[in-house]
Amino acid sequence: MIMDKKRLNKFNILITLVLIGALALFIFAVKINYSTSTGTVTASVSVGNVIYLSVSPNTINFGNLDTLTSYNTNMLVTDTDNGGNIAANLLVEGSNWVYYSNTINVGNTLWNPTSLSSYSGTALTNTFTTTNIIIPQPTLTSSITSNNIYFGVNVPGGTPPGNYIQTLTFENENVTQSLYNSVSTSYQVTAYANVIGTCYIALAPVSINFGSVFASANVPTNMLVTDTDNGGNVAASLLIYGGNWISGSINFGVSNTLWNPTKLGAYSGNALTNSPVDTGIIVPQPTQSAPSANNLIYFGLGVPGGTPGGSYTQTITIENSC
Amino acid sequence: MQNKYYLLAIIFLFIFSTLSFAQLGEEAGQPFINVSVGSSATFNYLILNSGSNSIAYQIILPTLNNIPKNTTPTVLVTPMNGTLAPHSQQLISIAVQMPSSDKPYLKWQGILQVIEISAQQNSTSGMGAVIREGVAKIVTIESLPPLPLPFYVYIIIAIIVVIVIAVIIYLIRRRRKAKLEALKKSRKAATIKVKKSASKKKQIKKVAKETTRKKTKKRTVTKKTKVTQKQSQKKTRKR
Repeated sequence: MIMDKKRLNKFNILITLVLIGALALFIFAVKINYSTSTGTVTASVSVGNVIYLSVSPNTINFGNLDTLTSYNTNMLVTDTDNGGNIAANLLVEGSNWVYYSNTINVGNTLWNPTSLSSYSGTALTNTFTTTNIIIPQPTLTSSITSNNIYFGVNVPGGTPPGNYIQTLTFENENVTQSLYNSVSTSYQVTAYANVIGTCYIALAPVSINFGSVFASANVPTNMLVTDTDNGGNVAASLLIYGGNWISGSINFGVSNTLWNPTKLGAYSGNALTNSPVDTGIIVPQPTQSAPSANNLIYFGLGVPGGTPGGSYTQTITIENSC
Repeated sequence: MQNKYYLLAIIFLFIFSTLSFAQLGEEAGQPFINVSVGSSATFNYLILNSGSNSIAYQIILPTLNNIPKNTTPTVLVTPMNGTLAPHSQQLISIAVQMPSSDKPYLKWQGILQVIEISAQQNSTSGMGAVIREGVAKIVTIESLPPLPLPFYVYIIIAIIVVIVIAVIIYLIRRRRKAKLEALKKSRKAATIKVKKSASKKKQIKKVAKETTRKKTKKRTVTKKTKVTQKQSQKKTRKR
């Protein structure tokens, strides 16, 4: 038994040695097949030219604007190329400003490469304009490049009040490469402007000379004053009042002056008072096509009997109320 | 030749006058101001100058109608005057203070005026009227019921009320207690008095009894003595 065991152990050892030898041979053979002999592998890849475009902010707000007031060309939008590899020229176009059926022409928005302290620059159009604002070529060390463009806006006289919206669209282009931005995270900016209602007043003439009038005489109600609203956008009511006629320490009553919406051939109409009254005369709402609107008021004078001679003056106040 | 120059001057004057002008304007919207009694409210709007010249202006406050048995609200406007630069705006602030004594749902109305102060007063010979320009707002003010107090004020008031009630109850209870104590004391004193008087009465009774007993004894003694005397007298007589 002991002898068998010994034999068995020897046999096992022999088998193990044979297996190890076979494995070594196998590894050696494989290694020969994958030779470590040196050589050259050439790798190549073609990197294309690419322009990226991202604009910020996505919205700009010009706030409350009245007609005839401009927003200076200093509203900033930044055009960024994040990861492209060639320079590009910024292109921009815009839509008309719209509030329901009311519009403001796109050309009332101006753009400029630098911030300005006035309303000036180049008018926006509804087709792409090459601004020559260059977004520099991104590089390995500076993979994000950008440039700025500034906007200003004007509200034409007679523009109806409301919250207007305009869409600005951007493109980046490299003419040499005939390439436009390929991937955009954002390329449109929405502009907002709230046009408030306003009314203006401009009177002509600013004085009336009734001439020489005798006591107990009168002047027909045909002295004209024109009340004009240049550029407002809402209708206005005309209010009026006056003071007494004064010459030194002498005076006679305000009510001796009459007013009327239409020209009269006689001394007749409504007596002027010393506190404001609504005449019922409306200065119409100006419009974009007719930004100046007006209405008329006529005056007449009766000098009371016994009024001492002299130069008398009265102050008449005309107000527009909207 | 002279006519040509004259015409040229007129043309230039016309062009210049159209280029250089001032135009006063205002933001649209008539103020309708609701104010709770005892509080105030504000309404703001813009006046504008769309021209290329400055405009000096002044404010004329509205004259409100009078409502009997109610005080007219106070209207304050800022600024009251100033100069509008070319192509500029100015915010006008109307502040209304409603007296606390006024009733709610009353309305006042008046006209707020912004008048252009013209540096040039056109003097005319004969009968001349000078025309002033301005813009105006028809201000309507309505009184509302008083504002509710903030909720924390109600909490504070409730706490104060609770404290006051607690103090009152405490004082009442203390007074009662004091009365009760006083009553107890007086009862105690009365009991002692009664006891004292009872014991006195007892004593008096005792004394009286004693006195009576003594008297009785004396009588008895006297009687006995008399009887004894009588007996002895009888004996003596018998002898």
